[in-house]
Amino acid sequence: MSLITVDSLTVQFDTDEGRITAVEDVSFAVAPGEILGLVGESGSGKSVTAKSLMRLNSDNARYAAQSRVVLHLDDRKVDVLSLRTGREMQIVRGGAISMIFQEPMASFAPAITIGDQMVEQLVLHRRISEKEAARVSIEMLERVGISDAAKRFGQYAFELSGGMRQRAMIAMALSTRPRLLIADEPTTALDVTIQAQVLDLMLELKQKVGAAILLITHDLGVVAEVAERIVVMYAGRKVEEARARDLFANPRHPYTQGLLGAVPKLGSSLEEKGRTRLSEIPGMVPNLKKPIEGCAFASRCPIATDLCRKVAPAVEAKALGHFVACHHAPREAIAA
Amino acid sequence: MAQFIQFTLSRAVMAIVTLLTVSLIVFSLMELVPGTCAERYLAFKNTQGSQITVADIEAEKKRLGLDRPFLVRWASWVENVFVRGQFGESCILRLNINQLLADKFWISLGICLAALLAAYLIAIPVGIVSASSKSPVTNNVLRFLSYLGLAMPNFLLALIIMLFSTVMFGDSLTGLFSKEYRDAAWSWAKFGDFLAHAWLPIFILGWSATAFALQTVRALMLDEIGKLYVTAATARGIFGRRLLWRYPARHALGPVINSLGFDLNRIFNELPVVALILTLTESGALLIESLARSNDQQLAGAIIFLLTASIVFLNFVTDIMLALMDPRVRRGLMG
Repeated sequence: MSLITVDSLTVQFDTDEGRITAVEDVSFAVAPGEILGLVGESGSGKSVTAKSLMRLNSDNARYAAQSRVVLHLDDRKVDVLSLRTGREMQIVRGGAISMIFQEPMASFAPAITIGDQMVEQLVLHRRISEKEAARVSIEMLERVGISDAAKRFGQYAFELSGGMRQRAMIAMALSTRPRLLIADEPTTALDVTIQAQVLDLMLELKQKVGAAILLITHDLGVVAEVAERIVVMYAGRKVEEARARDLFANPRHPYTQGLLGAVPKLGSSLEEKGRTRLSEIPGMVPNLKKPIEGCAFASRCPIATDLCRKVAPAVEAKALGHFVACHHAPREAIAA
Repeated sequence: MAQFIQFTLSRAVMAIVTLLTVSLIVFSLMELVPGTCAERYLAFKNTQGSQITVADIEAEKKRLGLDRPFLVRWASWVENVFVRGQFGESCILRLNINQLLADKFWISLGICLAALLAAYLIAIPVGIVSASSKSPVTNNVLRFLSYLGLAMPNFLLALIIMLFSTVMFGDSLTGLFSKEYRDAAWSWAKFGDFLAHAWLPIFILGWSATAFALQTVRALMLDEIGKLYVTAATARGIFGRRLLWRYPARHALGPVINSLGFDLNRIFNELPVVALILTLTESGALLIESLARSNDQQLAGAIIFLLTASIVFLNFVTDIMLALMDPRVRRGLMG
């Protein structure tokens, strides 16, 4: 049983320059306690997809009629896209789902203390007294390894160090005991040593709290380290989905193959082959203002044919648990 | 706390330094007017029919201390103003400037501050709500009114109102006091009479000030609403009025306070024109008169200095308010 299912999600934005299709017909599911990596470059629609789960896209976002996002709770199902009022949406905003952002400094209000923001959220979602909420908050800050938590509770974001802010943000996100934590590029702004600490912390807390994680990133190194399953997006479409192990060992979509080829590998470096260049994906991401005919990747794909340029490939299982949207991806026999 | 006192003191010192600089500029400007106070007064006497000689001028110069060097005269002017609060004597009218201005300055300042206050009392809530409103009707109506306020000159608005009032009610709405109170001592009745007249200049000055402040508040709010911390708060389930006022509105208020001094300055600049049209002899009109008609440099200097001092003082107050409101500044000062 999935925790949350996304079915044929299509998100468009009305802008002055016309309607932009940011996400097109994307489906996936997150199981309870699972870590799912959502990978793609900027503009691939991964953030818009994730924000759809909390209805955080701006007001000019249009969700297609057939799109469904369903949250499966113990006692009920929530049809996220049909939620209307702010109160109704609390179930996915800070209730069952929490989100952490790339910039912890920017995601705390600058003139409100960390503690006030944590208490406010706890009182909203857990129906506890402010005093109790303060106790829980300080305890949570301690659990993420912030020393002198009671003092930090009364401080502002600008008074904390970068790593500490990141921890405080994780503490705040997990204090309401969400079932799903959406992490939007959580390590991108951090230096490598802090990155590792933050990832470890997220994993540790996930174990304790029992939350699933939707990890949005363009950093393949990060997903390789922590994700169990990976969804690769390109130009608003899902192009490949597989268990992390399978995806890295055997990428089947030419785009994924290109992405992995563009990552430097330790060992396979200069001494071995002389000065080999990292391979890159030629061309540019297509313009999303116009409807894309055929496969979105066709214009950059080394193996594209006329079929690719005319007919968009459907996402199909090419091996057990390995889904690819490509006309030319090899298919393995799948045991029934 | 010690740091806060230190901060206040350092700001006060800076304000005084600013005022001294201003006084030097004002005093130099007064000097740049062709002719000295003595020459001008005697020339004025001459037009009234008195016979004067060069010796008379020299004697007058000596009496006024005009034979001393520039810096010494500036120093003594500063000493009089800063220490005794005395602006000396008017060149032409030969009256004590403090007595001449007295009520007039406070009335002018009161009208300007009232216009400023009214402008912000309207602009802050309206700006905040309009920035978050998605209704195109509300937004366009506000935008139209706001541009009208920005584009229509104050004197035109004043003239329109006066014309309308004269035709409809037979009252041109000019002046600040009814006849019976003009020379009376201050009393509640006189104050009431003042309010009954002062609403019009306050309204006219406040009209464009509100339009300006509305643009400022709206722009600052739109800026704040787009920030990540607002999205983050939304993602925590905060919504509606609580989200609006506690998050973007609260954070937009700092720069709004900062714009107060600037706006007072603009209102001051507009006051003389409005005062001239509404024949408010008790306020800004005096400045134009002293400058344009009679070249009364002492009086003009005093008025310019008082106006500048008001703005410097307001900026000092807003600095302190900002320090108290913004934890980033407050923590830096008070630990």
